[in-house]
Amino acid sequence: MRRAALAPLLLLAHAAFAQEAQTDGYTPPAEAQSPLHLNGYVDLGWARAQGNGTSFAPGDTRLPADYGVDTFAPAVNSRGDVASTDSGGRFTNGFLPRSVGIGGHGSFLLNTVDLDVRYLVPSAPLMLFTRVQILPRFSSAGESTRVLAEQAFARIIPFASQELALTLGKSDSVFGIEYLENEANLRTGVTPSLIARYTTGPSLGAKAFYRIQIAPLWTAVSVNLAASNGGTLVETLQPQNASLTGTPVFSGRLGVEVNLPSLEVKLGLSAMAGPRNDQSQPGVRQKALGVDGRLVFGVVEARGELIRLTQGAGAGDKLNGLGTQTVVSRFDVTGGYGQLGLGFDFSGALRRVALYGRYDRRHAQFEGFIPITVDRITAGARIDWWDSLAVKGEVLLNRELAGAPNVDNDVLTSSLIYTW
Amino acid sequence: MVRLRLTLQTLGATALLLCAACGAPPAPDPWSLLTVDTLAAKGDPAVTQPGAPLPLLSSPYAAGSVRQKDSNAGLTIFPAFSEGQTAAYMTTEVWQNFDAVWLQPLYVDLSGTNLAIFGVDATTRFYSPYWQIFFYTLPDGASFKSAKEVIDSGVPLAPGPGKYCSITNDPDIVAVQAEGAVGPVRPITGEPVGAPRNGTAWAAGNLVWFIDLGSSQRFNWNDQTLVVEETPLFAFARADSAGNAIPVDLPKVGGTGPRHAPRCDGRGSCSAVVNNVPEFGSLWRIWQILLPPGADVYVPDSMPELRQLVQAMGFAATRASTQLGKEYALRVAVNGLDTAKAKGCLASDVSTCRWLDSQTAIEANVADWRVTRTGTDVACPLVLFNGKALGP
Repeated sequence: MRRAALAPLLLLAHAAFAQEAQTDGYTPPAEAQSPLHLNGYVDLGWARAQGNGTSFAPGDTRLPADYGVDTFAPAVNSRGDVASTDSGGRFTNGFLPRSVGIGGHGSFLLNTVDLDVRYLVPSAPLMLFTRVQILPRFSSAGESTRVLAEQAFARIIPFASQELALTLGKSDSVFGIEYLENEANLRTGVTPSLIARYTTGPSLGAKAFYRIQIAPLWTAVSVNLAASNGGTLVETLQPQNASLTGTPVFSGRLGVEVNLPSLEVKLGLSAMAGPRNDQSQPGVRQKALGVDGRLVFGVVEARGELIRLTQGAGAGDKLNGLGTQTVVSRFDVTGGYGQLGLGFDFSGALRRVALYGRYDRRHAQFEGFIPITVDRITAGARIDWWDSLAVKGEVLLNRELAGAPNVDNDVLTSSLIYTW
Repeated sequence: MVRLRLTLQTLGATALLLCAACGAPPAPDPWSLLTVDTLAAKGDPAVTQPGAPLPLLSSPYAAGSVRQKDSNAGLTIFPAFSEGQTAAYMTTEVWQNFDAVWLQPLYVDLSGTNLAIFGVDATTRFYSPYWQIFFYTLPDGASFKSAKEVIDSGVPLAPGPGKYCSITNDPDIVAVQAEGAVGPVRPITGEPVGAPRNGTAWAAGNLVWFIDLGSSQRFNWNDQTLVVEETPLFAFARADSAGNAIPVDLPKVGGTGPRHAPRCDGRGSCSAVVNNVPEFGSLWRIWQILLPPGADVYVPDSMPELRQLVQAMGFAATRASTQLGKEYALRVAVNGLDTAKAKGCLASDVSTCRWLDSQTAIEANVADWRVTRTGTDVACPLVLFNGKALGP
C-alpha cells in the first residue's frame, strides 16, 4: 500500500455530525405551513486516487478481473462510486460499483444533484415523498449522466397513538444502520464503508416500522420489516427496480435503544433472506445476518457494524444493474467496520466540527476463487456552516491483506454540500 | 382466494425472516463445468479407474477384454477422424451452456527452481485448461505459491505462449493404458498416441497436479478478450421415425476452424500447424450432424460383433464390396446406402464413397440445416492427428 498523493488543499470548514436520521429512514423535518415541500442538496467534490483509479493490479490477468480484487475500494463519494472500473478490456462479471471515470487523475466532481419533493396530505396521516437525483458522469463512452428515481414512496401512520408506519414504494433499506447516511448531506464522512454495498441499497416494495417506548427504562424497541424486489444490495449488484424471480426478498432489523440524558446506546440485529435478484431462479437463495451498534456520549460517537452474507450458485445468466453477465457464482463475505468520531458544537456561523476515523475489513470469496481479505483505514473531518453548508475531507488507505494483489488504490477525496 | 394466498405469503415471509436458512433447494444449474476430477467422481467414461475394464480396447472394438493398469487411473483415448485420417483425443473438461471459455495466467520461473503457478484453481467455473505462460525470474531466497505472491513481488512478467494443462488432484492419472501394453493407443486401429505426463504445480497456494501435453501451443485466443478460440467437433445423430435426432456413438470428426472456414483442406494440408501440432483442436464446440437417410457406416467384415453394435444403432452397416483397412472402421459414408437416385457406395464401389471424415467433407456433403450447434464445449486435446502421435 502506498499513500495517495496529497491534494493541494482539503476543503475544511464548519460542521457537525450528520443530523441523526430517523431509525426508519428518511423523515423530512416537520413543518406546519404548506403541505408541499421542496428540498434538496448538491454534492460537489474533488478526488484523486492512486494508480489508475481501480483495484486491478497491473500484470494480473486472472479472469474474471473483478473476482480476485475489491473493485469497490477506491470510493470517492457518498454513493460509493469509485475513481475507475476500467479493467483494460479484461473480462469482468458484474461485481463492480459505478465509476466517476477519473482514473488516477485529480478531478472536480458533481457527485449528486438531489431534489426532494414531499407532500403531507392535510386530511390524512399520509406522506408522499419523491427523491430524484441527477448524477453527472463522464466515461470512456462519453457523457454518461444518469437521472435516478432514488426514492418514491407513500407512508401512512394509521394510528396516532402508535409509532407504526407503513411504507409502499422505493425507500431506504432496513438492514443495519449505514443506510441512514446514504445521502451526502447526512453522512459524517465522504465515502461508505466496505460493506455498504450489501446493506444500503434502496428497496422497492413494502415496509413496516414499529417502535414502542418503555419510558421507565429510557428505552425503545423497534422492528423494521421489508419485502422488496432486490433486497438490500446496491443496484449494480442486484437490481431494485424489477423482481427477476417473482419472489420478494425479505429483510428486517430488530433494534433496541437506550436514551439516557448523557448517554445514547443503540443496538440492532438485522437479517435478509430470499432469492438472489441478479438471476431468475427463485430457488437460488441469499441470506445475510448483521449486528450494529451506536454509542453517543458527550462529544464522542462510536458506531460499528458486522455482516455475513452468503449467496448460492445460480442458473443461467447473471443480470444486474450493469447489464447481462455470465455465471452466477456462489459468493460468501464477512465484513465490518468501526467508526469513532468527535463532534464539537458551536454557536454562530460555524455550527459544528467533527473529526472521525474508521476501520473497515472485508473477507470475501467467489466460488472456486482464492478468498481475498482487504482492509481500509479512513480518516477525515467535516465542518458545518450555518444549516446549509458542509465541507468534508477524507483519506482512504486501502490495503490488500490476502488473496488480492497489492495495488496502489488509496484515495484522497473531499466534498462540499449545500442543502436547500 | 387471493386474500388467503396473500395472507399465506405474508406468514411465509415472517417465517422466512425468523429462519433465514429455510430456503428452497437451488435449481439445477445449466452452467456447469466438469473437470478431470469431477468427471472421475461421476463415473464418466472419460476417466477409467485403476483396474477397470477398457471398453474401447475390448470387444467389439477389439478381440478379447482388457483392463486399465492397476497402478493409476487413466484418461480414455477416444477414436476420431480428422482431415480424412484417423485421430484420437482425451476428454478433460466439459462445459455446458458457456458461450465462451477464457484463458488464464500460468506463472513459470525461468530458473526452474519454483514450481509453476496456476492463476486460478479448478474449483471455479472460470477455470480452463488453457493458460498463457508468464515467465519470470525467481528472486534470490524467494519462493512463490500463488498469483498474489508473484504479482506482489514486482518481478517482471514476460508474456509467453499458450500451454494446455488440465488440473487434477490425482498425482498419478495419465492416459489409459491396458495392463501389459507399452503405451496408450487409439482404439480399433491400435495406433500409438501421445502419452501425457502428470506434472506438479501450485494453484492458489495449494499443491496440484496437471495433465501435461508439452509446450506446444495447442490453441489460440483473442488477445483483447482472452477468449479461447473453439473449433467444431462433429457428433453424428440419426433421425428416428418421428424425425427426432438420436445421438449415435460413432467416432466424432474434428474440425480445424470456424464453420465454413477450416484451416485445412480436408486432406491434412493445414495452416496453424507447428511441429505437427495443430494450434486448434483442444477446445471444441460440439456440433450435431443429423445424418441424411442415405448415410451408412463402414465396418470391416473381420469385425462382426462391431457390425452388430452398429446395426443396433439403426444403421444397415452394409457389407462393403471391397474390404478397407481398420482405419476406415466406423467411418460414415454419406452415400453408403441405396437411394432412389443412386446405388449405395458400400455395396457397389467403395471408391465412390463420400466419407464424412473431415470438416471440409462434412460442409460439402451435409446441408447446413442438418448441422446444429450445441451448448457443449469440451476440452479434448488431440493425441493423434494427421497420422502422428501428439505427446509432450
